[in-house]
Amino acid sequence: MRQSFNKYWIVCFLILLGVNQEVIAQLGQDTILYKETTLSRPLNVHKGQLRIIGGYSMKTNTRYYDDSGNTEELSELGISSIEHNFLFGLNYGIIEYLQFTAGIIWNRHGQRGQNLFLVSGVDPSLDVSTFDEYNGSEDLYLGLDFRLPLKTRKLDWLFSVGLTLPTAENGDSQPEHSYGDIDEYSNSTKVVYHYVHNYGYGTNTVIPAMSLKYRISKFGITGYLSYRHPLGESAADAWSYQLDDNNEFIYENAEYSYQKSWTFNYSIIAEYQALSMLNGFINYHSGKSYGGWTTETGKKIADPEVVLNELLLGIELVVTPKFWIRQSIGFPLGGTNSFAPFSLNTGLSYNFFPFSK
Amino acid sequence: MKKVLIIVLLIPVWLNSKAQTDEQLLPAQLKQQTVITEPVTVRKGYTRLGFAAYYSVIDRWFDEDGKREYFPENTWASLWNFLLLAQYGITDRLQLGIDIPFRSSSLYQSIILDAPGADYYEELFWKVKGSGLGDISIGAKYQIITETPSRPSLVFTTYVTLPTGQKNPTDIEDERNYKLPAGSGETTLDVDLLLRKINFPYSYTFNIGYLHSFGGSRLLDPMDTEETEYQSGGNLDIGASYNFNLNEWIVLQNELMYFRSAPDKIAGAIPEDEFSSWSVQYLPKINFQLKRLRIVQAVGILLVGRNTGADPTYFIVAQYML
Repeated sequence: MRQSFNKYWIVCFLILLGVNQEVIAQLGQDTILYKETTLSRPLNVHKGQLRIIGGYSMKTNTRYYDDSGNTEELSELGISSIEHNFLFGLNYGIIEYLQFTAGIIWNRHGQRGQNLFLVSGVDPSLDVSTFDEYNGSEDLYLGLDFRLPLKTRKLDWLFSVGLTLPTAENGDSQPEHSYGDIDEYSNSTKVVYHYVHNYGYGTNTVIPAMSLKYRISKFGITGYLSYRHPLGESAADAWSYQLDDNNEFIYENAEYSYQKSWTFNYSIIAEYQALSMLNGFINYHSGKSYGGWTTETGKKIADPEVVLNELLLGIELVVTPKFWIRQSIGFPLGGTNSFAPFSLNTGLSYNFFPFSK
Repeated sequence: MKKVLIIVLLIPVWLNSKAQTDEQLLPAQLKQQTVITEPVTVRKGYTRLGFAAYYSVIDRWFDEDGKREYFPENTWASLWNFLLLAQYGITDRLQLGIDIPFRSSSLYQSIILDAPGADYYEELFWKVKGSGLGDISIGAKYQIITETPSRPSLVFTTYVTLPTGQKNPTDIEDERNYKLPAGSGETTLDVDLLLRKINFPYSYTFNIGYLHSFGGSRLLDPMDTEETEYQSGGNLDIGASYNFNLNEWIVLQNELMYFRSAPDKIAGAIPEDEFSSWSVQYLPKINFQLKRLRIVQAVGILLVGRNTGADPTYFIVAQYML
């Protein structure tokens, strides 16, 4: 009897050991993520943690802030536009307080100008459209983020230094103008001036940044500051064009130099952890660009100063401890020489420990 | 030792038999099922109310060669479509429904007329807006075959849309100033067959549908003095979806849709500039099931097409099960 009892417990112990081992194997380092909320998680990822981020933003530009900050209604002129931004990024925790960050943004935006119907007295008349296409990726961003090893969990302080590499095309590509056939109904010829612009800086830029977050109970407030500085001048092609005898546009290019503006951004984000899986936030964001110049016209001309102030309201849902969805709506508050976009933003984050044992 | 082995061997049998036991849900829990687990039609005596909002703009299109192009003209058009939805379960297999739309659309255009020789310069503006009750749809959905663990459900849906909305432009001052209509002026019949299979936490669907328009008459141009007879082309749609639970209360639906539209007829004939169109659309939807409240967010992304718009459509739906 005693011998049977011992064997019974040995078998049960072995079964439970197997179950226990499976549970431990399933939890691993991921348990860190199970314990964290949006509010409580640190500003950087943990050691060994990989965060993959995907984002999409759609901006509707129905208004424009002019040089004096006055609002122009683009929709009434029929020249409102839609801008699509796609983000891909990742963070990896090298040590508990240091993460590596990489990111790239791809954009698409088509901006129409006001149509011109030109009657010159010589048939046919000209129906002229102007269209500016912005399409392609921005420069690749690489950076390191260091969080101060503070003992308190109320305060997080993160310093970043990043670099963008000139991976994207810069300046303008060759235009795609067209001269159409005669429209018999209006006795006019359609001419489309189609300009193609790129997002690259054409040079390296350095981006120092800082984030400071303070938590009180279910509330948190975060301040963010960044500055982007181009490391030198860039060169691009200026395009001139004319019609040949076959009504085909022919183009010539000439190199010119320019320097992109310095960019200064700051945000103040207030958040509330309503439920363990639901966080609501309000974000005041301001961006300013200045100091750029170009010699495209043959003279060195300063770029206009661009300012945009926005308010974003949003939520973050922790769908699973590894997978989060972040959504926000952005409203323009003011600015100069900038579109005033209404934006819908969605971000997805997936987190795991790829090399955990 | 034999007893020990018998006990150990019986443990999996007991666990398996326990896992196979059907979970009995309370009525309140039945009303909180996700789009994955709920029956295809509303249960007998249950009512589902909803509100939906759709937003789309005209920015790009697929040309006749299937190339995605921007509209070069400076026209800006946007459409908000709001829907009040109600569904009621007559039996566990038959559901009745009504969709009441409210439509708000706008169209802006401007052009500079310049004739330097005649010393003439003018800016012309089109500011055309319109809103109001759209065309109401009523219909039914019937489960021809109910779902079991070994077979999918087969559902037949039919909706009739009545021309309840204003079909002609109103408040016409001139060709650039008038109110857009919110209705189409046509009666349509929409029929659809759907197959659905649940393999929790996943579900799969396949559907095929056709919409036939019976035609009508309306002012095709605001400056027309008489209505013209017309008939919209028939629409065929074929779709399939793969859906899964991200957690207990969030579902991601992935739908792929093929849509084909025949050309419209005006005064009994197809105009020279009317062509058939087709598109393939990817429609990811995210469903949040908050007890009886369901919120659905989706974006329709047009992948390929011909002679049709290429802009995404956004919609959000809120549904509540009474």
